[in-house]
Amino acid sequence: MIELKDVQKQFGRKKVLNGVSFTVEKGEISCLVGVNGVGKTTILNAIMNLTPIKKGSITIDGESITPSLYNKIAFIPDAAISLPHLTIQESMDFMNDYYDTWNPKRAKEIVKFFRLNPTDKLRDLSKGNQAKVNLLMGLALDVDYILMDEPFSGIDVFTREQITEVFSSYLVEDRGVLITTHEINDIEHLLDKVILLDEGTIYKEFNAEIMRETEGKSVIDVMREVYNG
Amino acid sequence: MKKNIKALLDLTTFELDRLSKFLYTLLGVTLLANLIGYIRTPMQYISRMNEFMSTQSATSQQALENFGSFSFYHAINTMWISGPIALGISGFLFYAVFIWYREWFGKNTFAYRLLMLPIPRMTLFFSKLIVIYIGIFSLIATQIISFFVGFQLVSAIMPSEWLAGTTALEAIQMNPLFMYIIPVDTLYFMVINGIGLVFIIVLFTLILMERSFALKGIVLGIIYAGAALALAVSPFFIDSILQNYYMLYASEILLIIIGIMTLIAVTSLLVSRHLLTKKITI
Repeated sequence: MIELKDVQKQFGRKKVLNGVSFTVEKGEISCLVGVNGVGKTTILNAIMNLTPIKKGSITIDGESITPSLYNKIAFIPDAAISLPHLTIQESMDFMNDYYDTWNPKRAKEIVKFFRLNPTDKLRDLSKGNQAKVNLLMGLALDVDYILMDEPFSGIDVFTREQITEVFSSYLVEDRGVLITTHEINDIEHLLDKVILLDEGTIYKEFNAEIMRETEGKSVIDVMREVYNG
Repeated sequence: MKKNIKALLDLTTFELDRLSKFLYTLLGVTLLANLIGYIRTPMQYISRMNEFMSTQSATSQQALENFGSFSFYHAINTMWISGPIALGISGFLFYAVFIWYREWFGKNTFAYRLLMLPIPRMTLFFSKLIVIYIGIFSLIATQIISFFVGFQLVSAIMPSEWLAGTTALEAIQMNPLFMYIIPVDTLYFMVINGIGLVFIIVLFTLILMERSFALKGIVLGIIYAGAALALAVSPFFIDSILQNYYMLYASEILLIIIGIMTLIAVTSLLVSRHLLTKKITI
């Protein structure tokens, strides 16, 4: 379980996170939602120890993050993070060199699933295919938890559909997934938990399906209520 | 431990691959400029001598008396030789900064990948440090080879009666710039390179401060660099601080310098480890 307890983070004088606490369990897909600048990416970066927090604690299965835990949790950021002059195959080889959990068989399957060409250089790829490569690098790791930051950002509708398929496939099965996205409509039906952020705190935590059944509201409806007052 | 060493070797090889274009360019420019220098400088001398002999109807001896003999020192004491050395030093200073910032500001944010590798983050620090040093020593090695090739070239081009009997070693010793990079005196070479190593370690620490605290990190870095510099030059002011300076032998001063440099290096490594592990920000 990923557990955040009273996490606080400040950029200069601006408090971005003000006592954020939530958990992400294995086998469930959770989604952090909120308007731009509310601190979604900061939370993911903090979980991965890519930005320090001012106060609070973050643990993964009870342990603070150390380099060895990167074999247990993967992060797929909203940016190309492999070197552009490498081919997809070379990027996969790089991962294989460092990660005990890199699964070459699964990597091959994902390459096929996304219809990528391993000999293509990353700098020659479209934004959509770069997003797919990012997903490939994270999903081919046999990790327990996956964090994804805006996986649908700036990509065409067909690529989006393909990526959406990932969330209902074996690729995320039995894993704890924490995702941030503005394109909530595409994956709303797949979410186990929605965590709504507002003004640096958790405003509401709910199950999207139960919310729809009991109150007849979609996630967007709930967001409208919160952000439009 | 074994896994960490393997990761360090892998990362160093990876970084070396990324350095290769820059390094080969620098080595190529050095070799080419040196070659031009070793041919052009003696040729210019020969042409001046010949011109003098033909216009003044002078003998070779008279020309020699007028211009003096040509030594290897003249061949290396030109911009063709010292220019590439200065270029190499400034090139690697630039690369020592670039090697970190490209991970954040390159076309892709490779810092994400590097910082999420399941290896101690200091491995990144050491791999980058090793690569800078491999580059510097490659340049020094090229310069040494070029020296001896140049010596042969000059000896082949220059008529023996016009060539002074300076050896390559003597020529190097006459030029202070070369004393820094060519290992004529092992101890001197080690101290100079040790200081260079500490300088790079401190520079890396300053970059990590900036990457961790942004503007505050720059201020912190300036203070840290100032303190390190003050400490580094303090042995040279011992005479003002201590009245009995003359009681210290040169070897004792050297030991103090080595001690202070070690202290600065160890402190910087510990600070860098703390920053990389706890404070670094994407």
